[in-house]
Amino acid sequence: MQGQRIDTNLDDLKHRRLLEEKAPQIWLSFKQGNEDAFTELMELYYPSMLNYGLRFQNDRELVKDCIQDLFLELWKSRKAVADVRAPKSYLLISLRRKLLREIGRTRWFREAPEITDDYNFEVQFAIETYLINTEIQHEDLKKLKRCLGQLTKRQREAIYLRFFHELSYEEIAETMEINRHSAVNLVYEAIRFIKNNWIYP
Amino acid sequence: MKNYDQYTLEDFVQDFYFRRWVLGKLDPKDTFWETWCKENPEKELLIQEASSMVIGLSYEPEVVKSEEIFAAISRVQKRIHKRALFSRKWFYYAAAAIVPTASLLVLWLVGNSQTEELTVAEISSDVRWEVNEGREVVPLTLSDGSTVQLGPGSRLGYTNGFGITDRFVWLEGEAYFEVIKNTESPFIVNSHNVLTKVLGTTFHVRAYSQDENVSISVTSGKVTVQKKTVKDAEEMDPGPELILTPNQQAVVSRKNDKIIKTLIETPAIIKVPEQHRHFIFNDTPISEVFQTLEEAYGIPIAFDDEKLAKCNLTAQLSNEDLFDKLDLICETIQASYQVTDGQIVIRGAGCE
Repeated sequence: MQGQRIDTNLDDLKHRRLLEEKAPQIWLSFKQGNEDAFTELMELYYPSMLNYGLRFQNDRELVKDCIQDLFLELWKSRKAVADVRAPKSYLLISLRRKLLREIGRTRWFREAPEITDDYNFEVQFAIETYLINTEIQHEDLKKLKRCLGQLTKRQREAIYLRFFHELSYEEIAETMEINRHSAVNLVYEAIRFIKNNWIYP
Repeated sequence: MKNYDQYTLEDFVQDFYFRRWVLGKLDPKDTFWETWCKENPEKELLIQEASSMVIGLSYEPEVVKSEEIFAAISRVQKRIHKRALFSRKWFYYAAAAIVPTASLLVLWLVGNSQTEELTVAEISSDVRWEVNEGREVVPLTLSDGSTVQLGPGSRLGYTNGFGITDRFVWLEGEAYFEVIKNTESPFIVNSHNVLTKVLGTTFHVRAYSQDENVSISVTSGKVTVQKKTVKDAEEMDPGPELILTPNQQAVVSRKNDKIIKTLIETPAIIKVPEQHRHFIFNDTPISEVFQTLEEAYGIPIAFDDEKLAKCNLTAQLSNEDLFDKLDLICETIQASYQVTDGQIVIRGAGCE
């Protein structure tokens, strides 16, 4: 296994994009029991899954355990798994369900049972780090930060999936278990909100 | 080509190509956007606003180090293989019980110098050694179900990955192996950089440090033998493979890396031939006689079919060992034989 693949440089991005194009074939090959293909899937999607998982649950070890269990279950049930055209959203949604179930369970122990849809979705916008790291805090940037803070968690999740993971609206809808129209709306509302409150207030 | 002239702020923010340019993830050779901006100066403000928004809506990716990913992958792989081995194991045991176990004898006679004996295994700390300092044979069971009878003054090394990632052992001294068959994972014995690879069989290895040669002999089954040069020892890049079939023997010189393929001293019958079960021949064509021997001992016999076409044999050869049989046959048909490259080559002028 090569260790340099995951670093974020241009070659790597190109490499990942190439791999993602081949993803449906890799998925098929994995279903037929090809372990190399399975390893490729893990290599390809592990960082995205960890990234996504950490938005729900800041406990890195718990997220990692969930991802491992998920892959193990996937390997065991490979013959029964559907032909997926977009493995990434399939994996993200599986992780989302698993994590929410897991978080729900631990919460059940700690507190009274709650509605499972009540989850946190934390994203660190680059701008926040920028604000933390610079002495000069532009009025502009502070305003943007306020705007971002006013987005709903669903809007945040949708634009995170759209812009960070570059999912299509179909994939976002699938992952968030909503319809495509709602997915489009969430992203557009968020952009419009920022536009109206930050760019043209 | 997309109609970027008509794009609104929202459209630009959403466009993956545009986003990549803003976020510096585009190939530096791709100058599309620089050109486009020059050609559309009236859009400058819009592009600026869209850019700020792309940057504003970008995320701090959680840094995932490659080591973290590979550690996770290898944990998943280990868990997969644990399960696979567990469920497959019973199949192997069953197969071993039903199929008559192929047996294979490997004999290593190893030279006396112990100077360059520090192999990768010994340097590497994660190799575990089973050492037999006593005078009795010590039985061991490996995690893949294979058993080893470890001889006196011998030691056997393996890593934690044995049975999971590979089936690789190091041996010094003498041992008798009974290897569970696994066609996907060959069992490899490394002894003084001579590798013997089997897919599943029983064999004997002798590798004490008194002798100059390592010799490997096979009574049945199939192994490959390779000599690693000292230079390659760390790269695990062995030389060409020598395939040993039943009753063949490889003599590997530890000094000059030469491997000679020959036969063991007393080849054993590995299979009762379908015809002439007791080696009773009655005016039998010589080609049929040789075919019977080939089948029984699993050793290729080469001869000139045309020259020996008229030779027949009437003899009863049930009690003789192979070489005695050959002596008698050759005497009868006025021929001679030679062992070359693990085969028997018959030379004769033919019969009248």
